[in-house]
Amino acid sequence: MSLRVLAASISRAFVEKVSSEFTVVQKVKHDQLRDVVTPLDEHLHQIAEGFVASMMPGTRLLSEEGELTEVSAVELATGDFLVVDPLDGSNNVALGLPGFGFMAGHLRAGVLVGAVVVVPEQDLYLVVEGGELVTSQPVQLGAQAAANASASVYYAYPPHLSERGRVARGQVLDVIDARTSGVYRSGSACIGLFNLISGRHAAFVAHHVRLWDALGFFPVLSQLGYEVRYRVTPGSIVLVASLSQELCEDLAQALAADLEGPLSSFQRNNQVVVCDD
Amino acid sequence: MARALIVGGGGIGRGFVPWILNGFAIDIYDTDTQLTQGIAEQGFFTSWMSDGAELRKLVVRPERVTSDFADIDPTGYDIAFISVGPRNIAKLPSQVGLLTCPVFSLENDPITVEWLKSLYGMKDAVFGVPDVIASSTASPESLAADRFSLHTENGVMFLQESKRVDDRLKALLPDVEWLPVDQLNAEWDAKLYIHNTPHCVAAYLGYLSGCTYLHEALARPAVARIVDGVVDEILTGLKLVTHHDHDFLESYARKEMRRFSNANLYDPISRVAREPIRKLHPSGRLMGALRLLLTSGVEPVHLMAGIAASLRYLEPRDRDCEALRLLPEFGVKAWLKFHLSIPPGSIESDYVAQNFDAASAYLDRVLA
Repeated sequence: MSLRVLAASISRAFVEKVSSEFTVVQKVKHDQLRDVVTPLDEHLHQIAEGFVASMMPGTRLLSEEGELTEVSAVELATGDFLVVDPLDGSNNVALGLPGFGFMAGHLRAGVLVGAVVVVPEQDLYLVVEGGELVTSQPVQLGAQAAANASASVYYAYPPHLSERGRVARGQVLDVIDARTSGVYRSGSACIGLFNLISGRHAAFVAHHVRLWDALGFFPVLSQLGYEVRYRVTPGSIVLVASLSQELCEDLAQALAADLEGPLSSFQRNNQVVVCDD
Repeated sequence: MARALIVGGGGIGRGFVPWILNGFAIDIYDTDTQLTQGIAEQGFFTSWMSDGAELRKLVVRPERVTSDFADIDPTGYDIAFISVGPRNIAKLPSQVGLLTCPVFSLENDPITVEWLKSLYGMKDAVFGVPDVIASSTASPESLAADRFSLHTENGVMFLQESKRVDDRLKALLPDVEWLPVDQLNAEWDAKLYIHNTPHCVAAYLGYLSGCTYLHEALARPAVARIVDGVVDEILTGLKLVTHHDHDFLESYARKEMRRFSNANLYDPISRVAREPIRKLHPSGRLMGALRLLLTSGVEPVHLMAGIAASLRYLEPRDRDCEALRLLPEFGVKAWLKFHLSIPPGSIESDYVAQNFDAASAYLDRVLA
């Protein structure tokens, strides 16, 4: 069964579940005010859960709102998972701000074999499947939408970083300010990544975000020819993506202070190297 | 001898345009290498024009027919026509922008002129309306004699007046009707809604009825009834909201059913129905017509049946098939939003969503 069916079900939910009852904050996770859960999160999670159960036998759901939220590096590298962020940008939804979407990456034996991204504010879904990128409408992406000279950099990072992490963050910000029009954060890595492939950002940096906050976009970036440098552990992702190899390299260097090892380069074969935490 | 370039060797470009180019040396560019190599080897192709009950024959011997634009000297023509389908405008070779002659877009939508200007720098590109039904194929007998033959009806070519077109060129094109842009747009309005809307509705109904050619579909009473109803609804809407002369609208509408039913055309349903997502564009022949009717107070009963039929066009070889197959998973409102940016809550989205099931059930009943 095609991942386009999942895209269709998620798209439908975004249209049908827009009333205020679906966007209230139901709970706050980990005492982090940015980590809210709305009924829409739950509903989208249930759709993904149902899809995996009925259409992807043998695949396990690794979802931000699911029961299975932690796996070992070995399991991640060898197992069959649909890694899902049901509603990236939940706090924006709760606040009535723009910027939210759905992301899912199908990771099988360490290879990202498919992906679904739904960005309802753009009237768009993207599906990578069978080595092909399909969009719901014609849209200029990647090199066709090459970044403006004044493009900014989306920088996603968690609320708590170690001392080394804060040092690296400062270095990343220095590169961003020296090389681009500045940093941009809007509460949704999904939208940050979409704005990257639409040419509004010159680069995207994810600094120890959660697996589901970016993994689903890897196949899309690969299809569109982006330079992708990353480090995946069961607990987090570090990601630098840009059409500019030079900018990608500089940002990767800036992050190096907070990494246990070098960033890997994501290739067209979609193989993901999984490191231990 | 005057020279003409035809970009796009389909029904319009190859079947109809040569009829107005009497006395021209003709070159044809098309990306289909089987077509271009085949015609080049054969040295000719045949166009058959349906004129009442009669079929007139034109043997066209292009000087050059190629799939490589590098073979073309862009400075060597007196006139050029582009007819590749709106979705393919963006895929033209960039050298098309080097054409120095007047260039006419025959793409059924004036926006394509703006695309040619912005994508290829063709600042003098202008619009043309080939008011004709031109098939992409021919009768079995015609194909047996020439596999590259085409059938067309006896239509009218309307071309936009342009300062690039001098009296010498006009004299070489006596069969063309030259119109100022306002009048041409009026012709296009009429063509879009009075011709294109019922034309594609007939195709979708024909598909659901299992027909191959459009005239077969119109021979079925249920299809003819719905298409007649669409023409009546459109006519009423246009009379209410436009300033077009009513006699002009009526006479144009009267001839449409005759044209669609022409058994000499062999116009395949697959050609007329192709790419339903493009035809469902918010400003286009289906949704644009729906908005026209709803905002003018005309109940679009028959048009809704046509729209329902378009959403059920599941021809496997059509590029929109996969997206349409997913309509049940999307639901009508989400499908319209994500494929056409028609917002939920808009008049069109609400109407189609509310009436799709009933219209579908009606189609199943009457077309069975």
